[in-house]
Amino acid sequence: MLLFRIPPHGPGFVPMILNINNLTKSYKEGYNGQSPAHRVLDDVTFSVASGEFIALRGASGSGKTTLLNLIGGLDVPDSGRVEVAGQDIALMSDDGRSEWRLHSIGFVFQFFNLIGNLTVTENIALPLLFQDTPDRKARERAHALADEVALGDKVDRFVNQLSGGEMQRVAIARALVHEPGVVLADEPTGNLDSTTGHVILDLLKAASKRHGATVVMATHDHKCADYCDRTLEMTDGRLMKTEAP
Amino acid sequence: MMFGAALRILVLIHLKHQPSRTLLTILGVALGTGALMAIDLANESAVQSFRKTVSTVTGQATLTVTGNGTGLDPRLVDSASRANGIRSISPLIEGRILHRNKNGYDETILVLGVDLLASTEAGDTTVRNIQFEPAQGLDFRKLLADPSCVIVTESFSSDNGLQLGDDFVVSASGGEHRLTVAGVLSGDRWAAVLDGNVLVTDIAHADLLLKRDGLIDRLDIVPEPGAAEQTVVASLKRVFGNDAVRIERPEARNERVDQMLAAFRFNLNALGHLAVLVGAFLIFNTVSIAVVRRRTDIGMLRALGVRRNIIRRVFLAEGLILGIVGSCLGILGGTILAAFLVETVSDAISINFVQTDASRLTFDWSIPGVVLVLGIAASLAASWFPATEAASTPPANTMRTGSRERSGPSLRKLWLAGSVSAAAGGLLLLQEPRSGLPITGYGTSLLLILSFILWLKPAIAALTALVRKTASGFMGSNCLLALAGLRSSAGKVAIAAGGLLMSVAMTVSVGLMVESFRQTVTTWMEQVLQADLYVSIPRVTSSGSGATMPGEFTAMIESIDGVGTVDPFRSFEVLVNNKPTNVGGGRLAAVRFENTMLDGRSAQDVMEAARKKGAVVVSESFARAHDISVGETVEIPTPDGYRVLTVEGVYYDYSSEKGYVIMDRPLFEELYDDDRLDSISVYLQAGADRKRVREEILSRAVLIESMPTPEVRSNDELRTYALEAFDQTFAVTSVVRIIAVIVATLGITTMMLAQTIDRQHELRALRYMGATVKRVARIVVIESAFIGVVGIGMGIVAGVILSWILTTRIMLESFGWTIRFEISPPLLFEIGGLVFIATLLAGIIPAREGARLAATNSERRFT
Repeated sequence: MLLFRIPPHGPGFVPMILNINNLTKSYKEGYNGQSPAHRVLDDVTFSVASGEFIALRGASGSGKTTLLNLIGGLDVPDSGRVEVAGQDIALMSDDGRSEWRLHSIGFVFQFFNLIGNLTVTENIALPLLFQDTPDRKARERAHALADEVALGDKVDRFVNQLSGGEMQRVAIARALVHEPGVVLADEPTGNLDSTTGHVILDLLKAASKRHGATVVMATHDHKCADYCDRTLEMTDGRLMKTEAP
Repeated sequence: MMFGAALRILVLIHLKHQPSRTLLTILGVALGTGALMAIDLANESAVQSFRKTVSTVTGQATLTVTGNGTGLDPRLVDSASRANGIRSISPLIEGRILHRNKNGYDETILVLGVDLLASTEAGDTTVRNIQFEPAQGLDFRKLLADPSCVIVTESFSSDNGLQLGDDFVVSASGGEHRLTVAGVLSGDRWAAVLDGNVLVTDIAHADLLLKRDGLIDRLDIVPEPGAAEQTVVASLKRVFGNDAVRIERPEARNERVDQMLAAFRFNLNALGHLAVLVGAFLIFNTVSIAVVRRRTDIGMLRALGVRRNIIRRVFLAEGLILGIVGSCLGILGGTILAAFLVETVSDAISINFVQTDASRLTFDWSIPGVVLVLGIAASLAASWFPATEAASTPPANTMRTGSRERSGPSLRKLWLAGSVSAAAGGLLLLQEPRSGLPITGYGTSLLLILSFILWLKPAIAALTALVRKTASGFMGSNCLLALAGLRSSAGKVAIAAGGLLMSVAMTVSVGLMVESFRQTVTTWMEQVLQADLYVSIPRVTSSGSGATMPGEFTAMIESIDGVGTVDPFRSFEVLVNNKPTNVGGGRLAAVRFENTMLDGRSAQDVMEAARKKGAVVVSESFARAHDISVGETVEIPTPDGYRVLTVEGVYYDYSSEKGYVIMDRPLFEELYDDDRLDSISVYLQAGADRKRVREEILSRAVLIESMPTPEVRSNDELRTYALEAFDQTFAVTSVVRIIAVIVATLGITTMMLAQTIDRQHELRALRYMGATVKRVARIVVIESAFIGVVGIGMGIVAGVILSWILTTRIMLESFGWTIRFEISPPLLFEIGGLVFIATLLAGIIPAREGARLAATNSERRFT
């Protein structure tokens, strides 16, 4: 199986890490999918440069999460291409996409999606453990990331003992622990108060820069978009316009 | 209105949209109630078969006269006719023979030898008030003169394609006989007895066919209309001599059989009830999970003004729906299963208690009624706690906490409650065991099961913490995640593991008990079966044919070159304190038992003392049933009235639940004027050729004209035969045990399925992180395996303790048998291994579901 990491990018060289071409996706709604198909993404095309922090902004149901799922290889498009570092994800098998995701993608969710009965260290280390990294090494790396997100003093706490902001910090650390090329964040501040939300966005931006990761963040919040290099506006599954901050 | 809407929102929609979970729960309840239904129905059919035979054969007779052990002299008919108030007296010989039907299977036929001469003289073509059609050209004189002429039922003749005058072959004592259809009984009454497998012949011909040595089994007496029963009985007693015979109503036999079978049925039914309890666990499991999963909906409805009581009723209704549908299916399935079990149960009853011949079900409508009520009651009881929990949860809380599990009672409280229950069980066990129904034994067992179930959640919490602490460094991410999943839902896990614990405990306890019992019987046989050869009349049916060997055969065997000592033995059933008991006579001086006396004395010494004193030795089950010990006396009935004999010793015996009173042969012959024999134990001289002696015995048997051909078994052959009978007795328990394990496995499947659906976001998050579908499935299977390990581990511990209670207490209370408790590690490994595989398989459906839910695909489904 071909496993690859996003190639390092040197000074002055800004390659397009993400190329989305004419992406279309429809879903069948309703129980047992009897209802007619509903087009969620309609001919979406854009590119993201390596190290860029972009926002996908749009109202609920505009197709942001679907687009993140397609970029993350969690789903396949009906038509069009999703190329990450030159690789067409749709051509990979499901297991191949999982393996690729394990090494190359990090996720941050609105509801954190942490494992409640694991400690901070264990949650952060999960991607490394999935990669069969030796336990000691994985824990050392997790501790380092916990320090980065200011949770160094809570590494042995169970995550269900943490506040919402702390949980999201754990999620950010988990998303970066395996040095992915791309981090996909789906409404990462949607479940937090505005002050904590800003702290989290600062953290996400700083950490991703430090690790050289490209961030694609879905949000409906205009203020969140201010943190990004670029904002892609989505309406009813279509990409309407691109805004610089 | 409010209830209907709430029921729809909280229950009906979910039942419809989660068909696999609904069906699995219903299937579990159906299997539990089905097991109970099958056991009860098979038992009842066997007993009903016995009752039908008694009532049909006795006809209008309201009194029966039987001998005290031996048969009756036919001349007693003349004596009986001198009694007052008697309208008719019908002598009867009753026995069973075998007939190979057209499908090649041996069927049991009930042979009734009746006084056809009396009918003929009256110009009557009725047999016990049933009209029969004589063969064309066949006169009554031939029917009386030709021993091969018999009357068969309509169903027997049609089933076997027999016409009047046709011949057919039967196997009876002493070999095969060709019989001729000389008449056909009409009427449906006979069809109810052994499916119509009945043949009637003259009493003299039955005597020859069944080798009864001129003795009859019974006199059926119809009193004059208006004659007082007590007067007739008193008159008969005057004629026969007080206590020389047994005079009773036909129903008395039924009552005795009910009494005899009470413990047997109680024990089998206990297994069935346990299967229902495992099914109830499944309902508890399902409704508990439903409450947890629908907590937000509950909160929403409560916020909208739905009353607490409505919420409780809605979840009780869910349990009720599952219980009713499951129980109805169980009744249906149990009836089908009973059709397969009825012969096994009937054989077990025949071997151990009384001859029944049930091959078909007798449907008693009260049984499905009781099973339905039990199923519904268990379902309601099982749903009560989760329903109450749902009703008592504050609405704000339910909406805030989403589908999280409530913490429930603290681990310390559960641990304490379990310990209290165990202590109560221990105290109950300190009570003296009482002969009869094993109430204290089962009471202790239930309390212990409750303890283990209460200990489950603390045990799971402790075990997961221990594993995390000690093995987290090398157990891998899958195990880590599986443990996290288990910890987050320890309550639900404990419920699923509880069902498994119960069924494993049941399987282990009954399995070890049977194994211990088998081992005890094997050891006992080694101690008592010391002879080289055993001579007896072949048993054509499980209860034997009633045929015997003449006393003179003993001397003939003794004269064979190479034969050392011979121990002739004869026994039959009498009533002691209205309890059926075997009284037997053997040559006590020849007995070579080892280590078989309860008080540890030498069997030879005790037998010799009994012989010299004219005393008896009794079996353990007799001593316990009659509360008699060494030095006390026992009053036994003889043809000359009751005789009081001293008990010299009590010996271990596992051959009959009725128990034995054994005396030396001369005393036995004196008391019963009976020198016939059931068996002869032959001890060979050193170096004698066993095969030659066997052939010699058979060749000498031919010299006695009226004697049936005996069978001669070696020591090993007899042991094998006895163990086969033993295994047949316990065959039905294995069916119930298998059902319980299946139900518990379904419990794990439903719990894991619900757990997986609950955790779909978490599982999906793992997929986002790069976990493959296989990895997600593996995590779910590991969780199943952990539940399996805990349930099986604690189930085995509980099972071993329960087995000890079952073996040393319940069997003693039920049947009066002391059984040496033994733990069989291979059996524990076998049960543990098989159930563990079952739990892994139980994880497959949830694992597939987990993988499906974790995969984001092109369809958004309502889940």
